[in-house]
Amino acid sequence: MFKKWREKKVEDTKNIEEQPNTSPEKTNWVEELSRSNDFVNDHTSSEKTEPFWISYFRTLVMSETLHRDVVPYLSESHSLDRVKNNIPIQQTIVTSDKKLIKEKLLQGFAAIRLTEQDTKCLLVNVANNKFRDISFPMMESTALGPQAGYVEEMDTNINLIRKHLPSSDLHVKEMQIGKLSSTKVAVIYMDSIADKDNVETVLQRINDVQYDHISDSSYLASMIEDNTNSLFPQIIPTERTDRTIAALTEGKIVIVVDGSPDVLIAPITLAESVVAMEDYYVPWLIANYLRLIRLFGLCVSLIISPLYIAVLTYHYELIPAKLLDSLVASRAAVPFPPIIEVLILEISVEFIKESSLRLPTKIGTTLGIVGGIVIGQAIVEAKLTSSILIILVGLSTLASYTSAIYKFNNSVRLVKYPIIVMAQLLGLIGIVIGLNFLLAHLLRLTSLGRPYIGFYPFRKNMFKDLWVRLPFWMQKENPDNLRPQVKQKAVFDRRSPGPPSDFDE
Amino acid sequence: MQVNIRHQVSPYFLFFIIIGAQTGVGILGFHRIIAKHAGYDAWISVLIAGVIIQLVMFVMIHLLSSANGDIVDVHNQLYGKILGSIMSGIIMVYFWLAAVSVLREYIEIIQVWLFPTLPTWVMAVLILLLCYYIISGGFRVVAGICFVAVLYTFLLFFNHFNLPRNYIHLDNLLPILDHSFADLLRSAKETSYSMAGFEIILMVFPFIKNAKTSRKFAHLGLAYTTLFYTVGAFTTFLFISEKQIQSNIWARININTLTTFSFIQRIEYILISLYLIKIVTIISLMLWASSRGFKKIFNKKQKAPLLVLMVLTLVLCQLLDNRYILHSFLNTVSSISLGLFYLYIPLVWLVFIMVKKKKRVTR
Amino acid sequence: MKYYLLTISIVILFVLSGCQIVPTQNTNEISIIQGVGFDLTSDEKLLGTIVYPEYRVDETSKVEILKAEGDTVQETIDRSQNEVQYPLVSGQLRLVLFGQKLAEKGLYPIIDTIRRTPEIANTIQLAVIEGEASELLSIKKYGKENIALYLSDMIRQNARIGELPTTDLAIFSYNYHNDGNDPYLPLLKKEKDKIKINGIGLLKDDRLITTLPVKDVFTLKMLIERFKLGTHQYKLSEDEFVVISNIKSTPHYEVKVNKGIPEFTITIKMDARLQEYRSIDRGPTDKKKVKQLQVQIKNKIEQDAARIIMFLQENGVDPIGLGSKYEAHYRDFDLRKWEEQYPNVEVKVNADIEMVHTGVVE
Repeated sequence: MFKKWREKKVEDTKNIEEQPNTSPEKTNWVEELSRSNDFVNDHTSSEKTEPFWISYFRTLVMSETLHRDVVPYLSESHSLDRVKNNIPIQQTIVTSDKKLIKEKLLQGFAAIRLTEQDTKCLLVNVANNKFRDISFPMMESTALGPQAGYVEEMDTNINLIRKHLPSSDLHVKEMQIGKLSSTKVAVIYMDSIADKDNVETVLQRINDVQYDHISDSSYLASMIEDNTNSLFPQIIPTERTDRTIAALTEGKIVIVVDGSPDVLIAPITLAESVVAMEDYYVPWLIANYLRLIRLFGLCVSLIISPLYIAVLTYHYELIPAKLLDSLVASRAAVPFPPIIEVLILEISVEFIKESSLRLPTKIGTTLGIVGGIVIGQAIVEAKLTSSILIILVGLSTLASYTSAIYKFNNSVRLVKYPIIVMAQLLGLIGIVIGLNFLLAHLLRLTSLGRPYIGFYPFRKNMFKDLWVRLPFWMQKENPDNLRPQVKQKAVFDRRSPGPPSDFDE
Repeated sequence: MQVNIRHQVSPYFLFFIIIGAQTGVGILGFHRIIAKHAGYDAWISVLIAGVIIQLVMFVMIHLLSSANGDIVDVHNQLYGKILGSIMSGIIMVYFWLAAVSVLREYIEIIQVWLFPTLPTWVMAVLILLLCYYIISGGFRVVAGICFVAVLYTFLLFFNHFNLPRNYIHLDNLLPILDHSFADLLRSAKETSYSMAGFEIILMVFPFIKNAKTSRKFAHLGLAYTTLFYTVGAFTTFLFISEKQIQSNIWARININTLTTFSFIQRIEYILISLYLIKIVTIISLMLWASSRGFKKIFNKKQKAPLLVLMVLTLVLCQLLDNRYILHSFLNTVSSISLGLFYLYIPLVWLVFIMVKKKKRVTR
Repeated sequence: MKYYLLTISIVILFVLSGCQIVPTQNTNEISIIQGVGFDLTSDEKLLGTIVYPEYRVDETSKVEILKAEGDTVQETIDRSQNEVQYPLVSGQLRLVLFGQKLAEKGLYPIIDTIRRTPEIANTIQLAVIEGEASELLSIKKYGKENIALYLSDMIRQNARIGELPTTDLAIFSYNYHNDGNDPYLPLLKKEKDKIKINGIGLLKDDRLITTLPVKDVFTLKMLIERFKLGTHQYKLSEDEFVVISNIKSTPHYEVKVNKGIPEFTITIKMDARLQEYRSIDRGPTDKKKVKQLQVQIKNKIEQDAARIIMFLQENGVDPIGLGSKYEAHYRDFDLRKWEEQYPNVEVKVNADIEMVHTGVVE
């Protein structure tokens, strides 16, 4: 059964490949494109026989550029080559390839022809690329550090990267994917550092992508991930420039997708989820403390509700005598078993979160307050859950957002549910079985074929930045798990030069 | 028969794999068994057993590296295809039995301490599913689980040094060497079941990068387990009097009940639950080894023997339904392990070396 | 595809088993026993008294007391079970009391049952009652306090900072099982409607032999274990009292075997602080005075200890564990022979008191 299904799938993909050849090539591109009302096909002089004919998509071009840098030069010259030489725009092509013309027109080029029937035409880039200005990173804000977030436009994003890394080593490989959307994708890496295999893998996988449209980098990420069924993101999106720069210098690969303010980083490890860029802007001890807090937060959010269920459903022995009174008395009147109690609260927290996320900020905040305080209070007073559980679920919700990666937060929230069910089934043993499945899953996961979990296989220098943030002079090596070609970072060691001095000298 | 380098793991993993395979349910209750003959001098027996297993490990690695493969290759080179397959089959069956014994013993602990009414098969199915998930990820994932499990044994190791003042009695261990050497040896023999598991090297060997030159990790692993068991026996004896320990089936768990915190007590419940990862490690390793052996013997995909073994495990677990049957089963497995790895393998080694020498001479 | 089938079949399996593989012990559907007491009735049956809190809505918890007779521990619980709303569970047991009559007859069957039950911790407190345990547990005054927790905390605190030697199930069963050790348990007594610690009950095997009054308990504790804290008063003459506060006290044992007969020397090393000094002499407690006190206290301790040991030997009980010290020292230890020897062995006690300071004044 499985085999047949797979064969069918292969046939389907073949069909998709054949489609482009059947599209009508014979019809005139002007006629074809004129069906859209925003297509302009104008004649620049009053005489019908005189040049030029100019055609473009009104909605795609920057009319200012068109009128300033193209139209004035048309009247001065009489051949396409002359025009090409005259106009102060560098991106020009002279071609008669219909397919190319169509493609370029759809990207915001203007086509200039001598006569209406000409096949040969000059393509000038007058595309309107302005989306919006660079702004603050909204999802990954920090108090310190650069506040430039990526925008929806690829060239601007690459520009941001190049500005920070003015090196000939920085290679950018551009491609187009998406049958209908023809989205531009750029794969960026440091040629001398990044592992060749990793680059090969990324390019190969992007090339293999077949889909109608790529709306966001997340589309691409989930298409080229190693295991698409996993809850954990194996390629992380970021909108922070500093994160991408750091990733590039370590030998990671960065993928920029046109139209998406999120830039992808691969390969990554689990540890990256607790690393915030702010760690590098504060003293290293504080950074490690913050990392520990985040890691602890992850554990707490994963384990606290299941533990509550397990202890109160099966293992009342675990409760110390002094705690027994408050824990049991607080839910003496609750008519439900702990699992229902936990599910009621966990799901209502999800409701609050979902509803306030989809609303404008102001309403969202109000809604959060109403949901959190009013409902929480009422639920306890109505004796539907115990007040201690409200505290625990509140804590675990807070803790589940401590990770620096938004995508990872979501996985943590979902991973908790199977463990809750296991806790109900088998108490503590159930929790451990659930966690073991999680561990096995993480061990199996790979990111671009590199182990995802981060501490296995064990490499000494992994602890030097991946898990523990050491002072800069101690971070001498690039992490081994990326198989970087350059092992050593250029590190300035303030301690080594100069003669040794004693305390009082 | 070399394994593709992509599936191999770094040499130091040998350390984790050996420890992962060795430290099983025994940690919780081996004290009673070893104290049967040598009393509270039994910690010396653990050291003796530690030396013996180092020797056996040396023999095993020498054998495997001169055959340049795993035990199946050794047997095939020595006996030819058919007889070799039968001999390898016996060892693979042992690996399977070892997995069953660990699984069933752990389920017994859970049934005694946590859930008296828990059906054996439920627990067995869950653990086997977990093991299947791990084994199907390939040897690297199995080794990864070993790594994490060994981290847990480090925790257990430090747990040994939790010695509340009022509960320990140094007098218990005195006078030292109160028993005859024969008694010590007998206890050392009893220790061998708890210390068993290092024979996994017979299948793991080809999966280790530069295995021939990195045997030190295997010996280090054995040294660590020996230390672990010695310290474990030593500290446990401090708590429990010599007469009392015979009635304590899981002495280590009893001791852990003494630890309480203001926010949680009965740490042993958590310890037993967390113990699952050690159990899963051993079962994964053993079933992996067993199914890989059968794969090589029958030339099938590993999935087939693995599934068959798992179903058989389930059936056997269900059959071992009370403590007395279980214990005679455990005794059988431990005698098989004694016979196979302390007698048979050294014998094979001697023969193998002689045959090789002869071949070299005739050439 | 296959994986889906597998997952679905597992899910169905669990759903069919009612999402509940093992019976739950939902905390508001169990009656949590926190203390039990056992007595021997006139017709040689066990009388079990069970203490458990009942949690009510909008009210502080109320402690309920149940009594039932039976031949075994479980029977008393089963009989009590017939009177309660939710099943009685023993995982939170903190205190087990034994009536004097029962203690004199033997505790082993009950201790064994407790040790056999996995959900009962090893750190629960045991105590012997002068009189009836059931009577003591049903004192009205402690009805709101949760008497089980009250008593177990009382014993634990007194062992931690007071005069009582540390006791609990683990220590009891160690002493019970070990050759050359006899167990001891705190002795509680009901006085009017109060409960107080009234000394130490000394057992041989599992039978209560005799008791030691409160005033000697501190000295016994010095002989048994290493401990910190605790104060004790010494009466030096008719109207001269001194109270020392223990900083650190350690007993050292020395065993000499002379022609098959052991001789023990126990040295109590103690660092102490002068807590209180009352006499007609209002002079300063200077170096000389302290030296003098030190000698007096040393003599006092040595006398007390010698007297207590004599008392123990007369009764044939060995809570100090001289036998186990002997066993650790002597390879050819024979338990039976030792038990014959015990009443007559020579035990010397040396006290080595170091008055570290006298508080903030001299």
